Amino acid sequence: MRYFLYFISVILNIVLQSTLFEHITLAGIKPNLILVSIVSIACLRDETEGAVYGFFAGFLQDSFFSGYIGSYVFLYTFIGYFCGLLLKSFYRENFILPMGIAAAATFAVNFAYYAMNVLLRGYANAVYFIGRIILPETVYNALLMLIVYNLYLYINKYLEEEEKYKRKVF
Amino acid sequence: MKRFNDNKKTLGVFVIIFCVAAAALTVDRAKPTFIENTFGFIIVPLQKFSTSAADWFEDKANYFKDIERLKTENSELKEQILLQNAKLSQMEYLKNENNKLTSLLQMDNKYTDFSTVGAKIIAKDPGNWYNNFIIDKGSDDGLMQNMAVLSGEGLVGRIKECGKNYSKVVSVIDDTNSISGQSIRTEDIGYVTGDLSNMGSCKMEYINLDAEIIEGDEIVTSNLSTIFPPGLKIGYVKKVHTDTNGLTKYAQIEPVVDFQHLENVLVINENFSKDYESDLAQQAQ
Repeated sequence: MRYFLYFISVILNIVLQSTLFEHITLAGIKPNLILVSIVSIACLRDETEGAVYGFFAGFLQDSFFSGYIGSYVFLYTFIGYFCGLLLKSFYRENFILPMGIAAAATFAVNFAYYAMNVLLRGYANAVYFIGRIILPETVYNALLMLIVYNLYLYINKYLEEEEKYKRKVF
Repeated sequence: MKRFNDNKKTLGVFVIIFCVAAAALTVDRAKPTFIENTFGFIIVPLQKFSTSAADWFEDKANYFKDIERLKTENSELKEQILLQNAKLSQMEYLKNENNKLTSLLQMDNKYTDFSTVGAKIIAKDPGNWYNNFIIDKGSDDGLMQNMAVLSGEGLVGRIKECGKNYSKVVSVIDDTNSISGQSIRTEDIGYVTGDLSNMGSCKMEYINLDAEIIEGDEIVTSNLSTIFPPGLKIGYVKKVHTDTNGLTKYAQIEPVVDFQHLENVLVINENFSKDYESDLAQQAQ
């Protein structure tokens, strides 16, 4: 059940991100629902699930949109892993911390993407891109995290309640 | 789970190797792989549905707002039609004359009109760094890689990758794309690419220093292009700068197409690269 829902959510995230999120851009910048989902799942579960979810989300995004497969697979896998590591012991109902983590993750992913892909094409003015693309997306993602995290929190609570009884079998 | 924790480093290295290998294998591929086509079958219908749903809501939301605007616009357009009709009859005369003269000169006018296929934009790139989008027609509808994509105003881009039921289009304002362009007035040639540090516009690079290109010049695709037919409108020159090396100039270009509100596009379903190759072969003989 859980893994089926993960599958649905990866597909749904890609579809919503590429279609509906076009309509809610601010100054040409849109939030990244896929990244926010990865961070939410990594925070709620553990680093393994964050990394695996990130791997598949990155693979789907890369293969369908990027010029080559690899950069988002790498970034999303590792961001899922590290976000899972950071938040081992905190109250899940506290959503300020996940917001901060989402902001940090967005900044890290975008800056790494800039360094890996854009910088090498000759765009050396990093400060401009941080101000124009990365920071607005960071703020936007932190706000989106507020909604998405609570949604995942609710679904996760329901799923864990259900799984509690199944575990006795093993 | 315990096994995973023991092999963490190995797995990390594996992911890195996987990413590098995948990047090396898939960069500049000509055709999407089996995996992508499978994703296409799942994702494209969902994207179509989502886009049309969003459009429907937007349509309904704008319904009442539009009425007043449409009334004024209608009367303006009626006036314009009268003017255009007068112009059109004059054009018709000029066209006939032009045909006569070109047939006298024995110039071939094979690029004057081309067959096109209409397509709808169903999705845009999920990130903020690129300006790619996906249209709902693919190789099943006779499209191929490197075909030119137009809108009513001018050139939008070219097909970068052609799946079975979708195509990935890279637009002229994307900085991974470059087109051979020329200014109509002075026939100066340069490369038009997107400009990431000035989002939503492009620039024309490597213009000759003696070129007399100025603000307001119209830029079209040049006859040197191996992909695009010549004469497709790209945009207007906004400003001309001299490069830091002092040997060439570059111009900022305002594209004619409104990429923010683009919904439908036309694809020229003839491959011009082939034509040029056969032309060259003929010339060689």
